[in-house]
Amino acid sequence: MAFVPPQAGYDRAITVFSPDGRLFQVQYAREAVKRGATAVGVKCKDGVVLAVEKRVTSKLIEPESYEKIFQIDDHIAAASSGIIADARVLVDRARLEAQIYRLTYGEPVPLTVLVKKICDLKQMHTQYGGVRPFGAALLMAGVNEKPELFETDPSGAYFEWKAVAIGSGRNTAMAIFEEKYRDEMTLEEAIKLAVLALSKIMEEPSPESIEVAVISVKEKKFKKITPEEVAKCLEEALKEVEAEEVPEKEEDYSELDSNY
Amino acid sequence: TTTVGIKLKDGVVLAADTQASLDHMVETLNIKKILPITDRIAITTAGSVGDLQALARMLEAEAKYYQFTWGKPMTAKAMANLLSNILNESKWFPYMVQIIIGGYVEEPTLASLDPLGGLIFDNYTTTGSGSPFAIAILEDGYKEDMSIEDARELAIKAVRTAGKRDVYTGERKIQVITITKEGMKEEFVEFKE
Repeated sequence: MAFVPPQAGYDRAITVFSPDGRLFQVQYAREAVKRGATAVGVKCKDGVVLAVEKRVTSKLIEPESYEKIFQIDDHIAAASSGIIADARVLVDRARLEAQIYRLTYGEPVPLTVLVKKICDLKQMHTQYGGVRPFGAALLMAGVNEKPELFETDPSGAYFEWKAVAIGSGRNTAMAIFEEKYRDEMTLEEAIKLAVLALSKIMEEPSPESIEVAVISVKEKKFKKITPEEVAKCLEEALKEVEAEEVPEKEEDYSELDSNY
Repeated sequence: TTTVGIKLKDGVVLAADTQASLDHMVETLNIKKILPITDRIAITTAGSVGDLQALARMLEAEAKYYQFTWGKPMTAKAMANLLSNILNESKWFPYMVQIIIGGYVEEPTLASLDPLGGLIFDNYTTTGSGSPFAIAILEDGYKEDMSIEDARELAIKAVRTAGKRDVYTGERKIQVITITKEGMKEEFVEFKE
């Protein structure tokens, strides 16, 4: 053999560790998420907001077939980044687990329970043979007693956030959140912050290419924000940005990934 | 128990007595035998309370799951077929129930189910120990072009008549649910004497 790349063989089967203790297939799955469309979540005292960037690549696509925020139960929503097909499977499982919990215990499923179930599934796909990891991260948001917002990673790790972004625009969006997030924000301000973060990472931000959903503490019900309201938020957000140009911080949030 | 269901052009009327019997004893005179499953489908229940509650919980979960998975509400027809399958799976250890499913999702739908999953879609039907009395009243009074209001009166009369002659059916208080295009309405009709 003339040329053998270093560490060869350690990314063939996912169940095999590399000598320095890494699982290459899991890291590749994370790369799929990093290249995905951006999804953001913002939590505030009155509820929690999810917003996604829709990359509609052709005007021939039927827009309603291209939904990226999923309702899991009355009080829980999910947004994904990465391979959509993989995310769909996770969403289907989450919906099933939510109703199984309801049927078993007669009450809405706590978000933490659902997040753990999904992450158990993701983890299984990093350890069992014959499978590959899910190339998708999910933001899961919901209101039980209080608003909650979780990020689930392809490895099966999960974190709770006040505001978070996944996908290709993560660095920029996180920088904006670090700058602008306040604990005492209202729901309207949280929606605006989410839209603002998305508008900064999109080349041509437009109301049609942003999808927003909220779950308020008052109603505890999943609600899509209408295109008109999104348009209004986007307009206000863009105006605000013009007024005070945010200094571009060149902070690298990829070190967050070392948490996993 | 007596429960009745009537299907009309503009909706569905369900009615039931509110007496729960335990052998020959009246357990309570204030029980709900018509259970809403979604905002547009309700079931009337007769038989083993434990079995009925378990099935109602199952249908509720399935209907929610259906809505979230397919992005549209489960129709009463779909729910009736689903329940028929669930009941027939337990053919050798059956749920001891008689159920009427009434709903208006895409169109008015009325179906009755027996313990083994036997499924009949019908214009009017009755279940429970008082059903022979009630069906006679419906047989006499039902007309295809009835108004919701007339059907409601007929349903109440059917349950009340059964209540007079069937020991296991209450006649003091009748639960009525009407489902139209506008949605579901529940009421309790009480009789003093």
